[in-house]
Amino acid sequence: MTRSYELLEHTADVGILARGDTREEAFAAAGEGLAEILGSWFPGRGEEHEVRIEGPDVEALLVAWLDELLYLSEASDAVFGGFEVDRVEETRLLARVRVAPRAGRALEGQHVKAATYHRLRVAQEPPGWTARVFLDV
Amino acid sequence: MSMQLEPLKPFVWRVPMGTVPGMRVPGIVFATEELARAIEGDNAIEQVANVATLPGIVGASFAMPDIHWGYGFPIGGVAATDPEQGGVISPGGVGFDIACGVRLLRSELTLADVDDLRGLVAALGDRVPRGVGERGRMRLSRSEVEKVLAEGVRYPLSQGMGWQEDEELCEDFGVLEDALPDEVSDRAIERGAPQLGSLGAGNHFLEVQIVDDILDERAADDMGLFPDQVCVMLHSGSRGLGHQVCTDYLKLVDASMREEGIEVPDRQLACVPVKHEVARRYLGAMYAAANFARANRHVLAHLVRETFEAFLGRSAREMGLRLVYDVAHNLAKMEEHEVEGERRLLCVHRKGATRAFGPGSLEIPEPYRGIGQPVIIPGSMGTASYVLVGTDEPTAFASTCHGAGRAMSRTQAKKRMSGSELVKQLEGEGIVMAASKPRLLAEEAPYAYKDVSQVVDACEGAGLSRKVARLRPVGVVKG
Repeated sequence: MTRSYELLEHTADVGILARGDTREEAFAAAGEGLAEILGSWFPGRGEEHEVRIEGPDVEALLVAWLDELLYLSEASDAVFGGFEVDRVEETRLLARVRVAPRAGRALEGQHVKAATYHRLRVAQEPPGWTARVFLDV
Repeated sequence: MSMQLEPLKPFVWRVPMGTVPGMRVPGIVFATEELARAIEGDNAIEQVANVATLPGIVGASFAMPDIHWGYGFPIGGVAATDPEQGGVISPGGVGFDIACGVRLLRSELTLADVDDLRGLVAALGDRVPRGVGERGRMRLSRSEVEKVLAEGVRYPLSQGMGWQEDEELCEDFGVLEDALPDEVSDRAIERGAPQLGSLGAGNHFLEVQIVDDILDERAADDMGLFPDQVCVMLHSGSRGLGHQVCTDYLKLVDASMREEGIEVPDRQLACVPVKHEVARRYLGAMYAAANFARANRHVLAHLVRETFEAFLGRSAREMGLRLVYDVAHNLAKMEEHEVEGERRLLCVHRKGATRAFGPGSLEIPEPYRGIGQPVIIPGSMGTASYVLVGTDEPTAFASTCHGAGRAMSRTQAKKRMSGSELVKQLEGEGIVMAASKPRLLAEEAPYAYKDVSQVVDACEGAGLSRKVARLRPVGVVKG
């Protein structure tokens, strides 16, 4: 499976355009993009944490997924070690996230307030899937 | 998408009906000719037009001169809706940093009284928690957070922080009484509990400033401002608590909007009639987050007074470290305004815009009723800031600008100069810098923003506010 992401320009904020062979991989790539923006991407670190989210549609799930990650990082003062999205259905997402204590590390990233619905898009674009989301920073 | 503005009169431009389908009112943008050209190059005009489609919107979808492309609402957008005409409330019209705002402290000091400015700025940087993940000065239990949500600045006051007079010199006298702490989620409380009394990151800052120019002597005198005076400006908001409140209610409002059959051109404009149950809950939770934001700035100001005391060896009262005013620039409130000759209760959204009530308003502190409500406009890092007042003939539901307004994306800004080069440049201009993350500093470089002087001139030209004083920074503390 392959996944990738690029960061999108916006006057005040920043966007993520994530790609994957599957919808699940595109969502996982969006998680990695967020972790990189936050400066809290430490691949392989930490313990696995299960995430289950429900929402009205796939786009709302993308926002809720990133909001869940933001909540996790802030409430438990944690950094990220990995993202495995097991299933993205129309109204439900199942994933596993590796989180590790920040443990006093100074993070060289941006503060992200939340994921927004602005220009939000999840679509099948051969050869795979794309997920686009803008963040309030 | 680039769109054109139609000139109406000096400093006033129109976004005509039909710019996007479904507009209920026109858009009105306040700007100088030069700012108008810059605005046309951004995507903000489309966003002004999108806001004009909201049900129950009254008059126009307004935009202040510092307008720029946001998400949903433009930053610098003002929209009032009438609940009696199906008017809606939109969490996107407030934003994630609920009641983000500015607090200005004055003093009886001039720079000559501060022997070691570098030491003072470093001491402020040490004392004021800042940056990503940094915890605040107060660690609160759940019940204490609930008190902050209900009582605003009265809670830290009851704990011996700050001065009694600070309460009156804050917007809404320090507390929105209609807050509903029970409507704030556990997650929001969890995020807020360790964060009261912390600056945050991004464009939030603390600056030691000097009054550089007095532009209205009477108003400056009533505010206790004089040339060469040392002041401290704080820019912060409701921290993770406010972000979570917006996140929670955006979801709920998005779902309710579908049930109500309301359609909006951008999902981030999700809205629900003010009379809807979800709107009642959001308004109460948002007011509670606003109380948290004011209490946060109140605690930060207390830390500033303590630092001055410890560093200069004099009491804060002796140094006259009094509050000028505290005002938000991301908020929606129920306010009475005159529309077509009658007083109506409207839901006024200000997203990157500041309330600017005129002289005589009972909503402003008694000492300022002769001059109008003070408005505090932070410039971009290293540039001038302004103090303004509301005018006799309030425009755009008594609103004015909130800052310089971004002109360049963060990535572009970082390409121009590195953070350490920027620190060197600002230090070369005589500004002492204390930044926890110099690498990110260039995102907030002055060249990434519009010229704040042009922004406040446009506000004065359009009658939104009048200039009172200009301040220049001598010390910057950043998250």
